[in-house]
Amino acid sequence: MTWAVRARNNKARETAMRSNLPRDTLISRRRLTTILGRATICLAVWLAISPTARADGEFRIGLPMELSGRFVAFGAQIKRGVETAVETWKKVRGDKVAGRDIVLIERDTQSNNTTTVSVMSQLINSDKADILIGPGGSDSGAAAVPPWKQAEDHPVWIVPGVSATVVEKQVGKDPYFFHTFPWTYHYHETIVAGLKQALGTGKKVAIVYSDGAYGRAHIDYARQYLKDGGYNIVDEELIRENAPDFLPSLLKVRSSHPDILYTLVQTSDAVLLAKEIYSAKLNIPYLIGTFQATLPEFKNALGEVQNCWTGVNTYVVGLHSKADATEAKLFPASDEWEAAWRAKYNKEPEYMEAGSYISAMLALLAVEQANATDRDHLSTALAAGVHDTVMGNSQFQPSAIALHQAFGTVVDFQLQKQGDTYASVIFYPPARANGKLQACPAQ
Amino acid sequence: MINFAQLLIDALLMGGLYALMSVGLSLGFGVMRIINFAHGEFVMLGAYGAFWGLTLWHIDPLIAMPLLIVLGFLAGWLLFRGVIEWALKAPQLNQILLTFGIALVLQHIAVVLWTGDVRSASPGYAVSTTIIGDLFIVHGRLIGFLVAGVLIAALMTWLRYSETGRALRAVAQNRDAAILMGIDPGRIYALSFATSTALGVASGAIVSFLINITPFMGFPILLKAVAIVILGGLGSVAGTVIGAFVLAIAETMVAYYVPDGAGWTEGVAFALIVAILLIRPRGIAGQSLAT
Amino acid sequence: MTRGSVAATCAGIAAGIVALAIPLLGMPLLADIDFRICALLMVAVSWNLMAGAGLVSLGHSAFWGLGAYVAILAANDFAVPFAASLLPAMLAGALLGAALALITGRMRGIYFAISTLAASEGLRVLATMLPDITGGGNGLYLDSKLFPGKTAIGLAAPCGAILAALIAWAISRSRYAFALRAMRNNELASQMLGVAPIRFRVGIMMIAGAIATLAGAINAWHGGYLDPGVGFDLKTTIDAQIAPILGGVYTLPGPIIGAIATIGFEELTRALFGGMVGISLLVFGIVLVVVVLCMPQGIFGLLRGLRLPWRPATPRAAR
Repeated sequence: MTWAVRARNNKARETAMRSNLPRDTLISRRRLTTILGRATICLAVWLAISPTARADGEFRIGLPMELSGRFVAFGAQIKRGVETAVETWKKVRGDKVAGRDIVLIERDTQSNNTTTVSVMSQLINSDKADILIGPGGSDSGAAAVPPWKQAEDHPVWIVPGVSATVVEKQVGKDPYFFHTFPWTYHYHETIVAGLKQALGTGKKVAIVYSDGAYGRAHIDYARQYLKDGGYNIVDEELIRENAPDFLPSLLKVRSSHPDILYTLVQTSDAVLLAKEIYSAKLNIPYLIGTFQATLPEFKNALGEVQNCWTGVNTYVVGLHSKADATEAKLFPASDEWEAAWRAKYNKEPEYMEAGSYISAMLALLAVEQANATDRDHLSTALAAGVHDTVMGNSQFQPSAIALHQAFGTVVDFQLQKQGDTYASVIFYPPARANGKLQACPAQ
Repeated sequence: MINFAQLLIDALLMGGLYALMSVGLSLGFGVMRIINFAHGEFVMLGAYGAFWGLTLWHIDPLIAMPLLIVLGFLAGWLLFRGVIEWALKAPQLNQILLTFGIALVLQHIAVVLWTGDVRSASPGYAVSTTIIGDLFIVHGRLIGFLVAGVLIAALMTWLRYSETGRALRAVAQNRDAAILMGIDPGRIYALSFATSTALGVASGAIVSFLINITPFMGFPILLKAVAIVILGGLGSVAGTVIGAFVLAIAETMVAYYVPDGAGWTEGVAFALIVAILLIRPRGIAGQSLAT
Repeated sequence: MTRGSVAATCAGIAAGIVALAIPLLGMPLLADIDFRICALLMVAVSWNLMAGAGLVSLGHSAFWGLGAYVAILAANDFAVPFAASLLPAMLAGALLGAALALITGRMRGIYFAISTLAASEGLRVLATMLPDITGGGNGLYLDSKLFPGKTAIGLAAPCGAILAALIAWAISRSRYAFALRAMRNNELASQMLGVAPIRFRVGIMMIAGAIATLAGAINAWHGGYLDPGVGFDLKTTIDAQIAPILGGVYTLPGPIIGAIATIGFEELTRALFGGMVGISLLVFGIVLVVVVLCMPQGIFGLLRGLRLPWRPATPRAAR
């Protein structure tokens, strides 16, 4: 068609559409344009004044956290842990660290990987954080790695969560990466060692694992350590994360008559799994969990069902650890620290809160020690610092691949009925044990 | 063989629960031709209601259920009159997005109020079992099944024999004719929406002691309910019930007999949807599609 | 050409130039926002094309995830470089679109929507349950040796966005557009007029599918990590709908305006409420509800001062 014809058709089309009854719009066109215009200006202004320039007298802690979406529980823990650490520091040392203001830059990753990538880029490139602490969940942690690696001058990064070894393989021997949480193989190393010490070898083991990141990350190491430990794996059952029902898989487990049930599921699935195992009266003598069996949500939800489940953790309430020799006010004895936490937040502290508290405190001490915030001085000072914390000794050592690993040792514990409550009785390692592994009573 | 019998019992009990979860969705579509994508969130709210009732005031979920049903009904009515009614005349995609948006809002209100931590209600019957020979029946599931049965039977009786119920069915069959018969469609729409949310809340109360409670539990439930409703036929309550049992049995059998089957069970719902849409789009007992 | 369309074209060209220029300026925050807007724009245009034919997709994350997986697998397993890996992704998207179109046959409205939902969830289950290929729940990292540099990826997104916009413009100018609009309003009637719905349906879904998978593939290179939950995230689907609706559904500039508005709004809520637990997505949901209720014609519709005539896709009471 020629231009003229097309123009005429366009005009006709527009007139035809306009002649349809134009109804009242809720907002008039002019008003909307004004609103949009103002909003755009606001956005532009916000972008302009966003922290891009660094003031020299600052120590900037960037916190990529899951503050909404599925993993909001982890992000909230990191937020509490870090904020409490900074507060405690300010009470003990004053408002500054090595003469610099402490700036917390909190950014919500929304439990979404694309947002995590944006948040990490923002914290590294725009906000110019000196150090990053977080995220908490393995998913977000995994997504946060590429933007960090790609940035040429990436800052020091402390991760108080994330056990998936795919992450360890990706960050490799980067000297600026610090992990204050166990990797998956640490769990199984300790669990199998604890089982061997209590039960000997040759037993039959059935493994139940979830098909999400958690189960898949653990299954290879679990198999490997169990086989090396001389155990006989008679069944492996895959279950679906967040499924409403695990009974078909449990029936298959029952048919294999195991002595030990080895579960590789996250805490939420563990709640349902434990209930169903109890209801089905599977009568398996030893129930091994790798989830956080000390979590109040687990214990409150289960009541009597939790009895005789084992768990592993870096941090368990009631360990009665001592205060640090040099920094007793920053790393107090665990009873004191837990009491203060309970007073402030009206709940027991959880492992990621402890982990992020300790990570933040170590970072502040490192800045003080180095009297600098650039990444080389900071990482050297961090690597050198050693303190006794509620999670144990904080010394950084190499793990299988990574250079700086702290708190790789975990404790095996079992929930045993003591009076009206279920105490976490540690049965391994011997240095910290205060009880023995017991078989589950027959139902 | 014993395992097969156990699986069947398990699947049937589950099916009853699935039926209750989906019947509300089916009702909403039958009458208003909209799928309420926030349906899962009402189940979630019911579950939280029952959980807090148990934890804070030691009220058993079953005793709290009538109150929760009434609250669910009122909430649904208000939501409909306040928000959804406006979108009824809009194109379908606006309705879809509207209910999606409401779902997002409800999820995050739950997060703000109750945090993202996982909860689980545990009244005594949640884990106790009765053993018959080599088979076991979990009391919690049996109770859930019975309550679901009672509620669905009540619903079907109401739809068939009461004045309002028949008005509802009339609007579902032919809206214009119903108007000509003197039925006020607006009121009927609100009523059906409120009923569907009340049923959702009731199933949430039951589910509170059977599965985990999180603010995000609604979406997988919605997906299953959608699969069931398609399977059974949109707009048919009886079809939905049948569809629920079909899905429950299919899922359980796949979980047991297929290697790694438990991982594939989620896919069962969707494979069924595609199969039904290819073979018999109206579902087991639904009305024929307008194309 | 009318005055309005001249202004719109100029605005479009200017926006395209700006979008291409930003990654070269070296301002990381803006470059990141530019990237996200362009990626969302592609998905929004794709969704809008399908909606324009009466096909409401509730599973656009299927295309996004498929593109992401194909791109990463091509790179990791076959050492295919960045630009080349986009082609198999687009091909996969076109095939998926065609398959969906053929499987859903004559289905409209809610049934089609549910089929797309089934497709996206089904693909997610597949990705989870085939860990040998897709890494399963553990996820896949992009082999960093093949990474072409941030500028290359930063430019790819605006190029893709411009391509998508041009395709949508070309379709709107062709006779295709009339056929699609006729199908949207009443497929039965349009068939009587000689429009073969299957052919047009397959065609539009192939094009829309290819565009959406392109967006997913480029984003996979940008993000560097992929797992089934990420690739087939519900949020992608929601964003794919919010952007066109916010901007003005069925219109040409609608998805473009909507993509900018959506990302802008996301950033705003994150900046204002990001420190508080759970608030940012809550506000987002509230805005979605308000927009759907009060501004169903979107920003573009309001700017034009028109209310587009709504006709229901299927007559409501007829049974």
